[in-house]
Amino acid sequence: MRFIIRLVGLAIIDAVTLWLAGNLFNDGIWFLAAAIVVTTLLVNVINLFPTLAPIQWMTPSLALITLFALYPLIYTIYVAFTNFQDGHRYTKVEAIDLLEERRYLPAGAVNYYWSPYVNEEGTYALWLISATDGTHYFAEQGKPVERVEPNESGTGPYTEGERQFPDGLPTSINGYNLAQGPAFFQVMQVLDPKSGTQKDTRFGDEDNPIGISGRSEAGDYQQQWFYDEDLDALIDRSSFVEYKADVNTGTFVAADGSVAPVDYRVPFDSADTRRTKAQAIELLESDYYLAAGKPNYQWTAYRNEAGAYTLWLVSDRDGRTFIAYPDQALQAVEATDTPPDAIEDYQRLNSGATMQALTDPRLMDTRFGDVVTPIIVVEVGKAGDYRQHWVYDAERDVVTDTTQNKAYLADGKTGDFVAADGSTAPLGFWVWVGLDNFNEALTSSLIDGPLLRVFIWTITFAFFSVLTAFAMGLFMAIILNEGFPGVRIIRSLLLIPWAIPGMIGILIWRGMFNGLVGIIPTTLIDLFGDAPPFFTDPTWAKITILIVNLWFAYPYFMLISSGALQSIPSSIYEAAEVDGANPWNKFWSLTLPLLLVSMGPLLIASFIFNFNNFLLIEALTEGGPQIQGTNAPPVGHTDNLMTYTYRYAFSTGGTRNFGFASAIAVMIFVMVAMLTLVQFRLTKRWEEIGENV
Amino acid sequence: MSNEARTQPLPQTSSSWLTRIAEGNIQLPTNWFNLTLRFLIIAAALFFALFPVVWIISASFNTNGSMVSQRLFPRDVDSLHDLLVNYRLLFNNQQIPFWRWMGNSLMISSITTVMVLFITSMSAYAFSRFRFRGRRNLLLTIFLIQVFPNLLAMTALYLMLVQIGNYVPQFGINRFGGLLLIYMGGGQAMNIWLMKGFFDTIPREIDESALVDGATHWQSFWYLIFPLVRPILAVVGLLAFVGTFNDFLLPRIILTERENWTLMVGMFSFVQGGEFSTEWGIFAAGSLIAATPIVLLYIGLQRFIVGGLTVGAVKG
Repeated sequence: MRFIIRLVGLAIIDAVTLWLAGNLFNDGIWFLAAAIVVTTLLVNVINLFPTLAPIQWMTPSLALITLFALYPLIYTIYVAFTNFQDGHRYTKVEAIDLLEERRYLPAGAVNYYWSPYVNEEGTYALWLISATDGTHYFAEQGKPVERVEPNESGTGPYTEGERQFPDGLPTSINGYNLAQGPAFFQVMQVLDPKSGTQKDTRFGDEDNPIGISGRSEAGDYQQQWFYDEDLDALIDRSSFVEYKADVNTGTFVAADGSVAPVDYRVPFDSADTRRTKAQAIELLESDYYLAAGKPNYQWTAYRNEAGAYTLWLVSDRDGRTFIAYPDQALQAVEATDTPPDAIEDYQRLNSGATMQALTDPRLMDTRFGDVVTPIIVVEVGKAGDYRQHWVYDAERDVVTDTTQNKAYLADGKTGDFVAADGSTAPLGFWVWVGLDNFNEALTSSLIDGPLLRVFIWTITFAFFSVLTAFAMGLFMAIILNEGFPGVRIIRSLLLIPWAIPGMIGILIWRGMFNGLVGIIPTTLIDLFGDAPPFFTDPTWAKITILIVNLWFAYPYFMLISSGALQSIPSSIYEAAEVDGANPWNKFWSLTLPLLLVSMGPLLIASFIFNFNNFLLIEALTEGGPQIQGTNAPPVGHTDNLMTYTYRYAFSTGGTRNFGFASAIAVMIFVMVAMLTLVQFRLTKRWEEIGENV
Repeated sequence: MSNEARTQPLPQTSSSWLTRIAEGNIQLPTNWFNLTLRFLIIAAALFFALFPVVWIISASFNTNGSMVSQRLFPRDVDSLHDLLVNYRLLFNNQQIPFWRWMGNSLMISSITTVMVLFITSMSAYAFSRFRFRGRRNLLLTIFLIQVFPNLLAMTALYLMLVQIGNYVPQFGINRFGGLLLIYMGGGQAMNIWLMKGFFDTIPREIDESALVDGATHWQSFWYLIFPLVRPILAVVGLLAFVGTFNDFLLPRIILTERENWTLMVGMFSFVQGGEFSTEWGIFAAGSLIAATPIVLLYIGLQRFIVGGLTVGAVKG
């Protein structure tokens, strides 16, 4: 009975997974399909053989681990040996939108800090503080900007204190009230320069127009980039340089060869290798171009009983209308509003039938019109003297660009089609590149690029984070171990940082260290007149990271070492005292070695954790400050291996090089796996498992 | 010296030294210089530990939501109404589905916790109670596979969810199904290990006698062992729950729509890109609400958590 229930259960699981795997396989996603099939097989095997009974208990564990841990691992290893990368991220429209959002401050214009005021009608005005000389202004919409004085203009109460913005602002002026708290939140919903409902609101008059450009910036900001459809070019208003769109490379190029800061995706992008060679060839061969001087036609298809086709054509250029039969000259006819229902015995196809006809060779492979005006159908809305741009010759393994009669030989090593002069066809494909990614990581990137620096910082950070947290944790444990009034409460309070969700704690510190408004720099400035550049200087950024990490990590070590300290038998200390050891000696030669033995594995675990610590660095500094000269992708002084890899695989803009990122991921995996094995050796876990516990 | 160190017993069963912490071995010091020095050190440590907490509490009551104007003690507060400005914004604003985020987080964390406990306790039972060939290597393999950080597998996981989501949308991008499966699959090794360690401390005689009396393995697992291992279930469950509740990277990449965000993703959106001027107060209020229960849980159960974590690691 139980066996039958099990069989039924397996049958249901098999049906569902095989249906899914079959569909994925049809889509060409055979890698994932294979993973699902293997997992299903595994589940079946361990549940059908009675000898595997112990493993049956692990069925859900093993299935989940296979699919969600092992499969990604194998997939990543596989990708590491290929040239997998996607092409440019944005479509042309998205790229233009991105650029058109950019604002710039014309030379001579002033940047202001702003605070919003609102009157009873709901009209907004701004209190402005010049970033250049600190003078204050009040700007209403459509009125000249007015010079004002803090603590004097309008009606108070004015807040006390020496600090600048926004102190000294009146609560009301000219009938406007300071918008604070919830009102301020409403303001951003209205005036936010990107998403606000009245985002283009201008304050001041025509002589001195002020717009909001960021949450703390306002001024005569102007749109920097404009797209000109006729020229198919972007114009940079700040320099009046024109960047023409280059369809082949997906860039906007100026006359002097410089390019606009955003690329866009083109149909044929050699940096995009997310396809097999066969798919690449198919895509190339489906690229048609319109012969010079020939018009495109809107076409309507007609079919007769015998299955032959004829076309009703309307020229895009001048609206002239023709009927086209295979291999006959075009017949000009009167233009009509709608194509006729039938031409002789040919019946017009409705839209559904037209879509079907697009796969019919008698329509698609037929040349309509005569030799002088050949017409072929390419897709809906496209017919005319189209020529195939690329032709593949399987025997020579060559694609030929018919416009230049240039042959490109497929190179299975790099995933490119390469011509004799070294240029490549604009479409790559996914190939096995062997150790290339690893070579690049270990040679060129390591020597010329920032990888070595990133690696050293990763190790340094992991080491010092463990060292500082262990030292402080142990120190506090020793202090508290000797007893103190209220020690339990103190210990619990000291544990709070350990319990706070990481992301929240990091962001609190990021706020407190913020160079403009953070409590730490502003207090230091108040006290000493200066503050270290916490996030902008490489060394200080690293110190900041270590301080924040210490805050999170010491309570854990305090807890652990407190327990470990108390487990050291006091008889050892008594023996040492008989030998005349002082407290200092006792600590260094007794306590610390004993602690290191018992806590070693935890220290290594902590080292591994920090070696992989992505969240702290990404949420606190985002890897910054940037290392000079790194652009694709930008790498920062505080990037560790994890954030570095993340930038390659998920960086916005540019090309995402998954192959290279995966190679680094695999190297991280190997290093961490080795550390883990060392940790196991120290814990003697595995001996224990081997025994009959 | 090193020889001596090696022969020393490692910290023994967790309970003995943990109870000693709990008993808090207080002796009043007699040396006043020593006492003052230690008082200063403890005061400095408390300041370091608690200032950020105090600062975020203060920020949550700051009437102007910006960090620029924040003072330790909020100014311009005339009434309770003023004091709770940020909380009201958080709860009442249409743009901020705070309770929805909270609900999503609680739902994801609860389901993950229940499933993780069920799945890993079964595996731990097998590792603890059965003797089979390759047992040790299987556990080692599971450990090594899971050393690979989720983040590095992100491309593969993301593509996988996209592809599966084409056919089973509940498990695709922006849905909870796929995210739950990834959570369940992750961290198994550590949990199995923690549980197995605890299962081993339960005498085998208990279930063996039941098996002799004709009980199935399942019956002995469910009716005998399961009730006995509640302490470790509590620890693993708490760690799984809090770990999921606090996670930010996976949901940020997988859950794309604002309505489907978890609390942590929502909180992050208030200060995204290091922007501390407008929504700092709201972030502070939301963070306090999110963090307080977790802090209380951790502080209250610190002994169990550390005991549970170290039983596998420190024990020799």
